[in-house]
This record gives sequence, structure tokens and C-alpha cells, in this order.
Amino acid sequence: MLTARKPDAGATAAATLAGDALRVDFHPLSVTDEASIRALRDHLAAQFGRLDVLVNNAGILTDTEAGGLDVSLATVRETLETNTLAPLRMAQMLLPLLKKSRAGRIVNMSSGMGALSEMEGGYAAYRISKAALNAVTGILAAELAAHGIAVNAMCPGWVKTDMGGAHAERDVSQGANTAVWLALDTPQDLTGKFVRDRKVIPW
Amino acid sequence: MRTNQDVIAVVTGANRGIGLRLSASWRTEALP
Repeated sequence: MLTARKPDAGATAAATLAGDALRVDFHPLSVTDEASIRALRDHLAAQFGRLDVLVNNAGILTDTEAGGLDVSLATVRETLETNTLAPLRMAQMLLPLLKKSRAGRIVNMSSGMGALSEMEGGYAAYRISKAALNAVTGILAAELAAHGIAVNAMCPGWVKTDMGGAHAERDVSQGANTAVWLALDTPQDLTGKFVRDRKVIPW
Repeated sequence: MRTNQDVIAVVTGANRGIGLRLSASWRTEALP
């Protein structure tokens, strides 16, 4: 299930991917809109009755370089809404469906810029939101371990995307590699970790 | 062995960038 905020862009992307070996359904979703998440949940429940993998990939980077001393709190709040609170709410609302999977997984697209172990200045709103997303990951992993649901965060590296820009080090396939691995291939007991290039890294 | 089509997955922000690429990768990745 491919989701995106903009229906036209999402439908186009789904049509691009739809092929002989893959079923891709598009469903519009604004991750900061509770009613929108509820509509997705109801659709999934009616269509499939369960959810195996949630990839919280949607994220924003605004007012890019503002540091802790000059970033506006409005920017921090806006960034937290999308990058931190939305993944948390998605997990909360889709949990009943994840519990019906025999191997539920949540993959949170984080960033090394949110790692407390390598924290630097600049990009304050983004760093704060990703550090908090890492906390969300650890909390959910602990609370969902009893249900056998794996929850991990990952850093894709600096990737050539609209967010990363053309000068980034990696192409999108490298950025996506670890996400797919966490979603499909890792042992189910790998949970509560921060991962880059298929290796666990410090928070 | 399960196939990827047996996995019900939701990817947010999937219309571009990493989200789109990882969705495209689904078809070629094997399950354990």
C-alpha cells in the first residue's frame, strides 16, 4: 500500500510501480491528519484484515540550516508533527492490524542527524525531530516485544532526493536498501535498533 | 516460502525519493 499526501502524485507513482510481480495499491494519506490515518486503517481492515509492515518514511526538512539558537519554535513544532508525532500516531492507530500479523514490523526512517552520539549544530528542528523519533522507536520496541512486533529506526545516509539535494553522496536505491532489509529480511528478534547500511549503529 | 505479495505493507511518503524506491524494491527482495 503506497501512500502519499498528494493524490495525483501517489496515483502516478503507484501506476509506475504496478507490474506483473507486485501489487501496488495507492491510498491517499496525510500523516498529520488523524481522520486520514483512520480512513487508511479502515481501508486496510476491510481489504486485508491485517498489516505486516509499516514503513514510516514521510518526513520534512524545512528552514534547513537554522541552528538551535535561531530556529523558530513554529518550525520545530511543524517538523515534530510530521517527523515524530505522525509515526507515533500511525503506530498507535495501526497497531490492532499489526497485531494480526504473524510477524509485524515497523520501520522508522530516521537519520544520523538525530543520533545523540554524533550530535552537531545546525538543522536543529530536523535533528530534534529525528532524535525524538529514535526515542519513539525504542519505546515502541520495548512495549511491542511481547506481541512479537519488531520496531527499528534507520539512517539512509545522505541521499539524492528532493530533501537531500543533488550533491548527496548516495542514490535512492542505496538509501532504500536497508529499509527493505528491515521490512522483509531481518530476524524477527532484531528490534529496538538503529541501523545504517544493514549494521546496528549507536543511538 | 512466502512471496513478497503475501506481505501487506504500508509505506508513507511513497510518491518520490526513498519511499518510492523502496516500494519498487519490494518486487526483487526475497523473504527469509
